[in-house]
Amino acid sequence: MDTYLITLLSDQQPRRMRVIENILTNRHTVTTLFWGLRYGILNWLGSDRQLVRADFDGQLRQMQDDGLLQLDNQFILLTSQGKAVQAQFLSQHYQPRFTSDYLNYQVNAAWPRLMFASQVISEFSYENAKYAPISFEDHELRYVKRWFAANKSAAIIQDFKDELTGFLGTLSETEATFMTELLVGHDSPGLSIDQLTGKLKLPSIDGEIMANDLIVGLMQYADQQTTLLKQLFADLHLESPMSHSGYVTYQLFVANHSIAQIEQQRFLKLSTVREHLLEAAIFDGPQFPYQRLLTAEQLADFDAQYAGNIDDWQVQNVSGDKNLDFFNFRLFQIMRSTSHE
Amino acid sequence: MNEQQLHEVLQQQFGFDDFRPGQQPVIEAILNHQDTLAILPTGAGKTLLYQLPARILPGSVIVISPLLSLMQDQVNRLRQLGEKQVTMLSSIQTRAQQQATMNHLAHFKYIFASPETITKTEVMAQLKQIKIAMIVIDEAHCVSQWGPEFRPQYLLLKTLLADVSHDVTLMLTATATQRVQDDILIKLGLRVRQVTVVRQSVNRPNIFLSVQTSTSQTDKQTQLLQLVKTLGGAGIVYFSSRKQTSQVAQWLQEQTGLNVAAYHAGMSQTTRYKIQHQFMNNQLQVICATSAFGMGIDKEDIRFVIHYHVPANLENYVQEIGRAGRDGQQSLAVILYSPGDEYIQVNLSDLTIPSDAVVNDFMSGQVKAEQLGDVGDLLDFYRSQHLQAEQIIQIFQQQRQKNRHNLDQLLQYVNTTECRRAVILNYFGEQLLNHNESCCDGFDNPLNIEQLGLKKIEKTSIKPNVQSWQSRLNQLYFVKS
Repeated sequence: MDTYLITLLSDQQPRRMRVIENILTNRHTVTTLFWGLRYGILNWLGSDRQLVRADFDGQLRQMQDDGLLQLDNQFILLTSQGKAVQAQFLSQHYQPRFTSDYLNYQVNAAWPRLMFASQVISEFSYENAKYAPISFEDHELRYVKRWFAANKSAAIIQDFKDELTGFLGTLSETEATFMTELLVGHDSPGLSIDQLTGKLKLPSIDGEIMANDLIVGLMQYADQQTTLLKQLFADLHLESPMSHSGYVTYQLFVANHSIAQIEQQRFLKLSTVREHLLEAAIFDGPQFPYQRLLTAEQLADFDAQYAGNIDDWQVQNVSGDKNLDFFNFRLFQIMRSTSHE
Repeated sequence: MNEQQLHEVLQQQFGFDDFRPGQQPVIEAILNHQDTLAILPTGAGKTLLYQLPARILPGSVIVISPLLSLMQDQVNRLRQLGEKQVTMLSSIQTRAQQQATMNHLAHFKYIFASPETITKTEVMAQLKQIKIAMIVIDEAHCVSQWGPEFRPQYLLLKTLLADVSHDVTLMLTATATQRVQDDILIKLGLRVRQVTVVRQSVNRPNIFLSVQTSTSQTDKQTQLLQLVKTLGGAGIVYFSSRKQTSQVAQWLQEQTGLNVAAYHAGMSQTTRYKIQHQFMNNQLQVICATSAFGMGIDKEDIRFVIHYHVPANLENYVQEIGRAGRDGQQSLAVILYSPGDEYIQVNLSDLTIPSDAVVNDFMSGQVKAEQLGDVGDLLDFYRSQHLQAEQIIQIFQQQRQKNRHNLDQLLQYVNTTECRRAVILNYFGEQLLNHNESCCDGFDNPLNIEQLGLKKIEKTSIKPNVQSWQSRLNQLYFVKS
C-alpha cells in the first residue's frame, strides 16, 4: 500500500501510533509534541487535519497485514521488509525538502493567496476588470486588493513574472510545470492537483505533498529574494509554531518574569505555565534558557541518573512534588534531545 | 418606469436585447414596490431579478440564502458582472471579520447572509440603521414544511420582514407546488392576495426524458459508457456518493478519451472553482458530480444530464435536468435505474435525519452539537426555540414520512410506461399539451439519440496539453512588447 505514512515510521524506534495521528491532525499537547520531537516528525504537525481515525487505522492495519510493521500495545515498529519498502517508497515518491519551515508559515493559506494574486495580475495584463475571483473571503479579497493597489504600475506584470521565474528556475522542470499549471489566470482556470498528477504521470499521493512543499519553498525564496511576493505572503508568517497562549507565557519568561509572576499575571495554574514552558523548549531547542530552570547541580545529578536511549528514561521522584519532578525530568529530556540533534 | 425605459436599462447596463420569460413581470412588480414570489425554473436568470432593480432603487439589497456554497456562487456571479460592493456575512468569518463587515454595512449594495445570521439581534440592530431597498429570499421553498428542503431557520425570516424596514420583498424559488406556494407566503407573514406571484412552467420541451433500467451495476456502467460515448459532451452525470464521482470520472476518462472530472463539496474551494470554469470553457466535456454541482453554472449548451442514482424527489430532479439545453437546442435527461436503487436515497435520508436516540442524547446533554455537524446545528436551533425532545422526534418522523412520500412520487416517474412529462407536470399542477416522439420514452418510444439529432459532434481534440512552464507564464501574464 502506497502511503506517506510509511516515511514517519522507524525500524529502530518503536513509535506510538496515536502520537503520529495527533501530530498529523494538529493536537497540541505536550506529550504529542515531545514524542513528535523524539521521532523527528514535528514538522508534520497539522499536515493532515482532515485525517479520519478509521482511515489512519486502516492504513496501519493494511501495512501490518502486508508484513511491513509490528503493532505491539499501540507501538509501531517497521519490520525489515517494512524498512525495505520504506526505502523503495522514498526513491519513488516526491521527497519534501522545505520541511524545516512548515511550522513557520500558515501553509494552508498560501496557495489560495498565490492563485488569487496570479489571477489579479493576469486579468490586469489582459486589461479585463470583470471576472469571478477565485477567492471568496473578504479578508483575502481586501489583502490582495491592497497589495495590488500598492504596487500597481505597468511594470508589475513583468516584475511578478520575473520573481516567479527566479524561484521556478531553481526547481526541476516537472516541479516548475506543476506549479505554473496550478496557477489561475485570464481565461485559464489552471488544473487541479489531481488533474496535474495525472498529466505529469506522478503518483497521485504525491500531489498534495508536493504542492505544500513547493509553496513553502516559494515563501522561503520570497523572503530573501523578492519584493512583490514577499509582501504578498507577509501576513502568513507565524509569530511562533507554539499555541498563542503558550507563546505569551514564553515571551514573559524570556523577559525575565518568574514562573510565579507569570502564574499571577496570566491567572494560570502552575501546571499550565509549566506545560507552556515545555512546549517552548520543544520548539526553541538549544535557544531555550534551560539554566534558569535547572541548576548546574541538578544537571549533574540528572546526567548521573540518566544514560542510554532518551526514549527509555523513566521519571524518578526526588522532591516529593510529582508535578515538579516530571517538569524537570521532561525539560532535561528535551534539552538532551535537542542538543544532541 | 415604462416598458421602453426598462428595456433601455437592460440593453445599456446589462447588454441584453430581451428579457427571459418571466423576468419582466417580476422586475416591474418589484419596481412598483409589490412583494413578489417568482417561481421560475433554473436558468431563467434569477440574478437579474434583483440586480436590475438594485441599480434603480436607492438602498442596500439583502439576499438570504440557505447554503454557503449558494451564497458564494451568487457573490461570485455579481462580482463577475462587475458589481464591487458585495459582501457576505457568514459562519466562516471570524468574529473580527464579521464585525468589520458589520461596521461598513451601509457601504455595500449587496449583503448576503444565511437566515440564522441575518436574524441575530446585533445584525438586525445594524440593519435598522441603514436604508434597505429590498430583501430577497432565495430558495424560498425552504420556509415551507411541505417542500422537500424545509429549513426551520427560514421561519425566523418572518421577524426580519416585520421588524426591519424595507421597500419590497422578493421571494425566489425554482419549483413549488400550489400547496408550497401558499405555505411560503403564510410562513413569512405576508398576505396571499397582496403578493404578486409570477410562475413559469416547469416544462422544458427541448429536453427528452428517458429512464434506462438495468439489472446490475455492471450493466448500469455499460449503459453509462455507451451513452457518454455516443453523446460526447457537454454533460453532467449525477451521483449520490462523493466517492463514486471520482471513481467513475476516472474510469470514463480512460474509456472514452474525453476530458472528465469529478466535482463534490468535499473538494477544496480552489479545485471546485477550477473544475467549474474548465467545464464552462469547454476544457472538460463531462462532469461527474454530486448535487453540489450546478448552482451558478451558466452554461447554455449542456446537452445531457444523466442520473446514475435516483434523486430524492421530483423537485430536485426538475432542477438538476433544467441545467441541460438552456440554449433551446435538443437535449436529454436520463435516469439509470436498477431496482433497489431507491434504498440509497432511503439510507441517505436516514443519515441526514437524526434518530430518536440521537435526539434524546442531544437533549439530555450526552452529545454536543459540535459532534453532530449539520444535524447538530438543527437540533441546537430547535432547542433554542424551546421544543421538547418528543416534539423534535415527531418533526423528524414527519420529515422521514414526507421524504418517503416524495421518493414514491419520483418512483412513479421512473416506473411509468406512459408519458413521463405528464407525471412531472401533473405533480406541479400543470397540464401537458401533447405527447410526441421527442417528448419522452413512454408509450414504447425508446430513446434514439440519432433521431433526436443528439449525435456527438466530432470536435478536434481540445485536450489541454501541459506546456513548458516558461510558456505558461507568458500565457498567464501578457506583457506588451
